[in-house]
Amino acid sequence: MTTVELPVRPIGRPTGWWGMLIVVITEATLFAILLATYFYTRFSSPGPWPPDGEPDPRLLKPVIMTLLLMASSVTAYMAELGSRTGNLRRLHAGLAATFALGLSFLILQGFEYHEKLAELRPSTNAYGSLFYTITGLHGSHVIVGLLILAWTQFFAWRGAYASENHVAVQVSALYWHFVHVVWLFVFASLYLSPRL
Amino acid sequence: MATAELRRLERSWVEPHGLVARLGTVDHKKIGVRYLVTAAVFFLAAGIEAALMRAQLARPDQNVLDPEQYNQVFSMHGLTMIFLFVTPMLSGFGNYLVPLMIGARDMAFPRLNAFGYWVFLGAGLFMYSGLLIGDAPDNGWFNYAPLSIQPFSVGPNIDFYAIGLLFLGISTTVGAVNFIVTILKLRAPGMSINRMPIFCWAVLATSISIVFAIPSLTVATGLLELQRAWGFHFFDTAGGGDPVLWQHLFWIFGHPDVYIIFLPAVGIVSTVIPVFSRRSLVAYDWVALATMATGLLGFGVWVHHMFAVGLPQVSLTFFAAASTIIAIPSGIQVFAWLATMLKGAPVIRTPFLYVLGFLVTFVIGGLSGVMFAAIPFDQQVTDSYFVVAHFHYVLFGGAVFPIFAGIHYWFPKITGRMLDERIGQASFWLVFVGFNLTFFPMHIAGLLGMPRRVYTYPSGMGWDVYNLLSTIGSVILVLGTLAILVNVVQGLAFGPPAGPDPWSANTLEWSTSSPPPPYNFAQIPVVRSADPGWDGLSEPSDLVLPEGHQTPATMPLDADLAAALEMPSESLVPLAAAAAIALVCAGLIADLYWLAIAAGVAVALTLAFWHGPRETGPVEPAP
Repeated sequence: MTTVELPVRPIGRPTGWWGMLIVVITEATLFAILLATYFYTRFSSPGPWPPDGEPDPRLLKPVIMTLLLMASSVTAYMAELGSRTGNLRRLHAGLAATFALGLSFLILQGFEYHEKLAELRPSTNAYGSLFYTITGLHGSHVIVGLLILAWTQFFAWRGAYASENHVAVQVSALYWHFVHVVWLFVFASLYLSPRL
Repeated sequence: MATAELRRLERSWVEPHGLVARLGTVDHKKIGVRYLVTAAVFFLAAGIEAALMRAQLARPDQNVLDPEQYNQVFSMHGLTMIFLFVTPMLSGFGNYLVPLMIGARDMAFPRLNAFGYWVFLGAGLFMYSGLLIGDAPDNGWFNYAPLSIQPFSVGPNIDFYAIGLLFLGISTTVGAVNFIVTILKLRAPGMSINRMPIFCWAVLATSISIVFAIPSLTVATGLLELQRAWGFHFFDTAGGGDPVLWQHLFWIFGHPDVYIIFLPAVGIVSTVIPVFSRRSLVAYDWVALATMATGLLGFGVWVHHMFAVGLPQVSLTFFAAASTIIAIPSGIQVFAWLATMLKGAPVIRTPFLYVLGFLVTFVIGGLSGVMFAAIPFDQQVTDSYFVVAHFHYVLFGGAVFPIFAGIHYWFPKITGRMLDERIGQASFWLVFVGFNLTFFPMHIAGLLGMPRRVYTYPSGMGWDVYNLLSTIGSVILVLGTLAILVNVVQGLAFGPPAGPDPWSANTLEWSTSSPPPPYNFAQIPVVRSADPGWDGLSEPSDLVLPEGHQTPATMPLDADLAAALEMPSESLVPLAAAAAIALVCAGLIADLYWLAIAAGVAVALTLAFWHGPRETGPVEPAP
């Protein structure tokens, strides 16, 4: 019989982190294909883009939204760091700040939609359909991210991640970083590229 | 090992009886068997649909089915075979076998595994409910626009297609995530990545393909449903869309999906051939690499489904070249199998016969596949019965023959009983003759100009005799399938006991009892080569982990011990989550948006409940 020994402390990333990583990869592929669809439609349509005399998208709100998400990724990293080093105050503050920044993003997106819907609707043309489908799908990912953050925060207050058991914080942060990074691509494609 | 320790282990893993335990089980073996049985039932349904088509086409101008019924039957046949039979059947083998082959006690995420099964079942029933009300998908399995949108499609038929496939995609995706993490993290100590069974390589390559391919199907069906339900514009030129976009999105998924189906089947072939040739697989490294390369190259060939669409010549040439290159990894595998048989001392048993049948049919299908890479030829036979003949040779030959081999090979492990060898061999000859008689004449009918998907044809086109031959062949094929069914039923009832290792095989699943205990291995095995059953060095270790549901985790490449993982036990949450998603789909198809929204909230609540931190806390490493 062969003798084997478990290490004293677990080595390597937990399985939950690996699972979330693969979910993030498949979700990123989803967005990549949607953006490819956007460019396919753009380059196969004759005439100017956006079509039908639609003006280029305005940038003020989306730029602020982008900055909010960038900041939220930093605070999510703070929370992660806090849970890893056992600094609970940093964990709670990081989670709360991430949640607040994400929520502000959503509120701004609400205003953005309200303004935009007056001139362009999803059923107007393929441009409108793609614009609302892609930003809407991203927005729904922000909502899911906020729910995950709220749930993680709830258990953080109850002291669930005090010691080594901080997988949930790591996994939530990984998902949130994804929501942030994918927005940069959405922003560049839908808001910046029509001006090129 | 101390008997007291074994007793503690058995106590930890005993499953309570009763309905709740049964519906809530997370045992990968039980879930695997559920996948196998459910997929087999869908196979029988698809077989009935095929028989109806062959009855309709047996002679010219028949009226067994009317045109609309015929459309629904051929669409459901294709959808069922691809999405509800082959893929989940191979998931079933993967679920049952991967943990056993790598020396683990369960999948990495057992509850997710249960969830994946329930979603598959729900999506299958959802798609078939369309058939029950006479409104099943009727636009073929690849469902080209604009026939899938207004004004050409008015009923709910295509909604069953779009929503059903979105629903099913969840199951396929979570299954792939589970397989990847299981294979990378849960291998027994010593099973470094270059000692992993080829079947696990195949499941890994398939799962990676799924992670990158399913999103394209999700986008395609999601956009289609948005267009159908809410008047978005993606696939209609009037609104600025493009029907060819659907073809790109579909085939970016659809061609990798061919390999998603084919690779695990080939993994079964690479498992069966060494065992019955009585020697290790020749060129293990090359076969493993070829498996991964096939999965990768599968993403670069989708346009060969669209050679007749009118795309620019330069992109056709690129994809024709890529489609030729993909023959190389398949060729490497075929020669590795042939060399293994030549260098070994083959013993002919039913599983091996089915593998030989696979080799013959798959090589024929592969050859007609290479013919399609020649663009002028492809444009001549597009949408003819030649295509139908080709893809049945690669899919039935490439996937169903290996699945039948797998059923005969692992039946003793799963049930603890042997199948009857005479019925097995008879079933093989019926299936082999029936298959070739059904599908070979279709090559000729296609070359003579018979288009696919026609519900009937006039006499005097020169197609009559080939169609009649095909129909006679399909009767023999049905008899062969029935023979397998009879064999399975009699094996369950009267089969002699199999013992742990009836084939003297090389992989780890044969080193435990048949059927295996709930914890798979009392002592975690230590692996010293790619053939742990034959090397005389691999053996059980002193690691038992008797408390709770524990299994060791190892490092992704070298498989050094990393930690002991605490696994969950039975839970009804996966079933509840899948049921809630089914209600969302029901609400969407019936235009009951309040139901869809309420069910969506229920999904969120179940998932939140599922993901609360476990009460057990961190697992202390064993002393």
